Amino acid sequence: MIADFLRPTRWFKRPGKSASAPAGVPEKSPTSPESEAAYKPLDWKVVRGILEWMRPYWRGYVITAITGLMVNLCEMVTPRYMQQLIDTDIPGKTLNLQISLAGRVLGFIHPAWATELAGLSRTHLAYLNIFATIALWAITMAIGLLLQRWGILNTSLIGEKVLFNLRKRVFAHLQRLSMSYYDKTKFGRILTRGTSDIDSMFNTIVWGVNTLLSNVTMMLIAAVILLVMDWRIALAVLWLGPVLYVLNIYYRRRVGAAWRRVREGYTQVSSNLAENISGMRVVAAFNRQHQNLDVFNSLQVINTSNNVRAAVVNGIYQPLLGLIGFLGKVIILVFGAYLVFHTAADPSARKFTVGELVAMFIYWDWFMGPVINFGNFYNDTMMAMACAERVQTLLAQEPQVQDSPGAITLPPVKGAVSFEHVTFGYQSDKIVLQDINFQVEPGQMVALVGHTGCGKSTIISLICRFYMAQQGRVLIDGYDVRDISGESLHKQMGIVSQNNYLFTGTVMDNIRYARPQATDQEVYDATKKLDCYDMIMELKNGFQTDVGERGASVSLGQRQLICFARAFVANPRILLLDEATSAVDTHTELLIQQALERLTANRTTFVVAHRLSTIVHADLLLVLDHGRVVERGTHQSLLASNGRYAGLYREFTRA
Amino acid sequence: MAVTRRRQQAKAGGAEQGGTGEQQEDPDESRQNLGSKPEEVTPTPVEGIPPEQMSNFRLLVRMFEFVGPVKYLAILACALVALATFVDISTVNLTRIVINNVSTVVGSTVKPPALTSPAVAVQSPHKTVASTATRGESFITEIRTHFFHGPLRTTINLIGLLALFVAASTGVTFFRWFVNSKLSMDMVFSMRASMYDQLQRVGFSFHDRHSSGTLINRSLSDLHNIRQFVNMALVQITEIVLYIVGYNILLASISPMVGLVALLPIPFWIIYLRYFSHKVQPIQQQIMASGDELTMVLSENVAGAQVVKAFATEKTEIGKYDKTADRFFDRVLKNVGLFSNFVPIVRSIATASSLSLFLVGSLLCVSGRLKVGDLIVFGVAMGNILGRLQQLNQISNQYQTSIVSARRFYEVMLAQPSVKELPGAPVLPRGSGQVEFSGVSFTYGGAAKPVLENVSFRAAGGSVVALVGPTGAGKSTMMQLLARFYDPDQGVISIDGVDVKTISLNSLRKSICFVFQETFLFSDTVANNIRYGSPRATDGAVEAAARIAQAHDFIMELPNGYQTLLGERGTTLSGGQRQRLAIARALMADPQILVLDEALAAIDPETEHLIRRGLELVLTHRTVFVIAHRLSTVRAADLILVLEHGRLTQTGTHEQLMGQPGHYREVAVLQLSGDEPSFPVPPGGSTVREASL
Repeated sequence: MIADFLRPTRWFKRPGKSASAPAGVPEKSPTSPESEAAYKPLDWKVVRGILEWMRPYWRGYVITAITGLMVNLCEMVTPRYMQQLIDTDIPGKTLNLQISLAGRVLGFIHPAWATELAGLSRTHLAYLNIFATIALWAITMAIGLLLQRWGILNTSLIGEKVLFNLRKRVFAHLQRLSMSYYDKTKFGRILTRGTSDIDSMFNTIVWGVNTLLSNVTMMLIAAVILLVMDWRIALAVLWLGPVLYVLNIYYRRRVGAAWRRVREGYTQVSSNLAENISGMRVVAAFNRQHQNLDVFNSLQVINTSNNVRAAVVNGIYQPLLGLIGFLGKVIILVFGAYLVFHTAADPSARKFTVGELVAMFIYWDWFMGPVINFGNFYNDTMMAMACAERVQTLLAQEPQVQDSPGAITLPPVKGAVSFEHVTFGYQSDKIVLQDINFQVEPGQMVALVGHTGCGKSTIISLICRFYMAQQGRVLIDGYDVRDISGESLHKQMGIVSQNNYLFTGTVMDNIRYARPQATDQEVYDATKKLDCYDMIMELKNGFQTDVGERGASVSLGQRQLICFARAFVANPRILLLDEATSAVDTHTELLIQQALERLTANRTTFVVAHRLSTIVHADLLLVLDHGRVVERGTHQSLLASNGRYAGLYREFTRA
Repeated sequence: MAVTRRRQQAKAGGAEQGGTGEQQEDPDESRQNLGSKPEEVTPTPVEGIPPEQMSNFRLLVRMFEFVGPVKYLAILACALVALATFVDISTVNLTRIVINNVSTVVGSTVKPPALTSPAVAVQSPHKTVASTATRGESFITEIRTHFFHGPLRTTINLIGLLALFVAASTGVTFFRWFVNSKLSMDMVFSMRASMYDQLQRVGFSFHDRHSSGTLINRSLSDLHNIRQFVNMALVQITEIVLYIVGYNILLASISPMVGLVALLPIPFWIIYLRYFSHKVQPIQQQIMASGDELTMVLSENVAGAQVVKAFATEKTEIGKYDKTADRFFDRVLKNVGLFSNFVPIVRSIATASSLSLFLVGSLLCVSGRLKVGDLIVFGVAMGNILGRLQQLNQISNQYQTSIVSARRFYEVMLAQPSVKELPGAPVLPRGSGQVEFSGVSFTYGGAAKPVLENVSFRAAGGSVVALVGPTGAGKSTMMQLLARFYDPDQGVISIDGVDVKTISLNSLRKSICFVFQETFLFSDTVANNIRYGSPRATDGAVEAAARIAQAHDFIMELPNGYQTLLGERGTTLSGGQRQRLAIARALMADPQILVLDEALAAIDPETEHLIRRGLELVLTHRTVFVIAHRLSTVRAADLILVLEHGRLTQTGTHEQLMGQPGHYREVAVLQLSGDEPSFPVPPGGSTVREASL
């Protein structure tokens, strides 16, 4: 109690990270509607993984741990100074020069001084001792604080470095993973791996080793000191430690369950809110306001009762833990007071002084502190476990598509593409493409036609080797895509996908995304060739216009044209195009059509077609149905043969 | 994540003020942000009392309005705090008295000759300890003597009292947990409910200006900030003040001199804490900004993974990320440096103050003016005073955050609903569904150019009306005016001859249903999504609607059919499937007037054809408005309205419009020329097919 404030507490927090907060923060936690496990019990495999991340800095960890121990030792001495002060201060109590601190210090410096002191009066001796004690106390603290400063600096540096490396590693690993991972995994989850999962490990990776060591040693040292000072009192109280520990674990479990309920309830509240705000137009259009408010408030009622219930659990256990701590103090006080009286009156006994009583009092606090604080450490660690496991799972994930060991670099190609008996399914039991065969000459334009889900986009994905065929071969200029390096393959390919993704930055940046070395003039020429130069110049800052996050500040049609320009500047031999279905007005539509025509000239092009004009101009039409090529030919020949395509076409045009 | 959120808010805040001009040029921009936004949206500055002009003090006062409904709980919480403080300080004081008691006895017992007979001890139990218990005496007797008759008895009594106080504090702590939680939850309950209500009532023009992400943040994190601050300000400040005052009184009552010494470090302490806050805040902001940048690069790479892979730019992207990470790390290092100084300095000040108190106290002890127990109080008191002052500093930092939050929060709360219902407005009677616009003009708040100018037309009940025209011409706006999502500046809109302004909003919107191009579905079952507008619909009715919308077949293929959960945690549907559900939803609501706002754009042509056939069956006796670019969708309409730059330039049927020069014929010719048609070639006439062939 007395030295609460002098105790090394964990003041240090990095800004903006809520990770260091105790379990009671779910009210604040971000609104990820898809909740993942927040805590995970200790798992050695995960711990080994964490230690692996720390290993490059093991020397630093050892040195800072030793520093931490030294800081602890400095702190642990201070109750003894208190003891000196108190024993000196009691007027009338005999002061034994030999054991007084001042006497010992002076005697140590110069033996003769000690004897000179013998002549001093009790009061003077007491003054001397007080000054000496305070001075030594101050020196000890100064050393301790200097060490602590060094310790904090270096511990944080090392820990941050570990997190920093981990962040880079996760990013680099994400870049290695194939499209199948991105298709399967939700955006929010992937993002969490690289952000909050790593942030949540802050306390454990930066301070974990230190906290664990210093708490354990603090407890041990306090216990030993208590035993040395008076083993009877020590034994009378130390048993409370394990009791408290067990109770604390039990409490953690109960409160953990309570907070889990709180989190779940809160997630429901926040996702209900998020959903209704995002869908406000529908809400208004369908007049659901009153009903929605009722639903929302009923979720809030649950949330409130969860919170209050958790507070009640805390309200029961927290004071209970305090009460047990206090029980120890009462035992020390009663037993100590008894010993003080008893030994004071007994000349033959070794004196148990008031100072010692107070010192034991403080040491008891220090013994108990880690037990109670253990809860926070436990929470942090469990949280870090859950996060570390997820990050480790990510890092252990092998890319589904990898370059084979002896992958060769694809030489500049002409652009012949052929499929030989290609069979593929995203899951091995669900076949999406079956026995696909076709051959495309360099420079041809191929339109893929068929209903949604018939496998058109999958063919494109296989050509780009986002996925590998389960059976059969995909050949580019006679090279099996399995045998060539992904990078050299992609360098000769351009893809314009349906969602027309743009990166934050200017229009210029985006157009030369694939070829950063392209000059401004090249970009201008490209856009002029595609007839979208004027369109871009009409933007607020022309080519220097910021496209916003994911291109949000340019219109759909403009985005598509910029993507065309991007592909044009990349100048690929093979172009893969997934036509966007969104409606744009007729003028923009016209621009897009023209640009498309110029973009596809002289390249092998595969188009997932939605526009009749594209289909009509194609050199080869592949009509797909349920993963098979059912018809092939040109528009005219297919119409003439009056088969499936002709039927489809009539269906569309009759309406 | 927290970092990201904060920055998004900041960004959105900036856009609200500065974005007006540029968005006018590019109406598409806003649509990207908000799923189902209409195309003509233009943001406007805030109407009503602008909270950005409110003084901090007024905001502060306003923040406390949410205490009103829970004021009794708040008073109870403060009372409990006072009680807890009193018990706590008393406990410390009692400990002091116990130690003093022990030390006095020791001090006085040492001097007199040690040996006293047990008899003497019994006779004068309060003066000397019966410590000479002969070795033969049993331990029990010895203890009994000491505990019940010796000076130890006073000590034991005092300790008993101490225990009583601690027991009391245990009880108080329990109630504090309970009351604080209840207070905090009740407060946040009413705040959230009123925010939710307000967001639902405030109208579309408000939602146009604020992205839903921003609003979600406001209602969660901003609200949390305010709640936390109000709670802190109420309970914690009471506690802090009581503690500081209480301990100072205790110190002064022990010794006025010591009390004075204890005040000495306070100015240094406060100055240093303020200084540090000022120094550290910019760096923390930098760290947050850097962190957001990092998250941004990551999120872009995840979202655009396909592009990265397609252009083989993985290495470039890694380089970009590493560079950003380096910058982040540099800033973190700066922060680490600051904090590694902060902790030792703060602790130095605390140690120095405690030690000087000990020094002064000890000197006073030796001269007999103080007792050793008092020393113990010094340590505790100093620690508490400085610790509480530090909390005060934290609260003042929290105040900064909460003021920012409050400003944004009230921007929402004080926004005037753009559309108001007349008191006691009657229900719209069900008629034929005739719609009439006469002289309607409308300008989005703050925009310079009107979106609609003097639009007049009459659509007969049960007819199909097509709206065509370039992007941004005002087509969607017209339909939204009809449903009173906005009110026109001039002119009258009437349904079956009744001015829409005079009837109840509820009944008006019940009679109009929208299917938007970008479909919003709720995380609920398929069936519940379809019956969203008419919750009491039977399963049979739901299925019937789904069949018409050509959704039944794919629904049956879902894992749980109509009971399949959609959304984040459920099955994801394709764009076309979503639109079909939206059509079913609209049909289910049985509206008098149906608005299809580019509703068939994401549906493949064959399905579109089937849907249209299904719709024909149910759309008799309903007025249907179709907004579309495709000629195929438009040409069969009973009435075609051509909108250009907010003006109705042409009206008539396809045949009539083809016969006159103008936008419609230009576009039609363009689309029919064979070069331009979308895949679903216009329906009907052989001329069309030939043209496209």
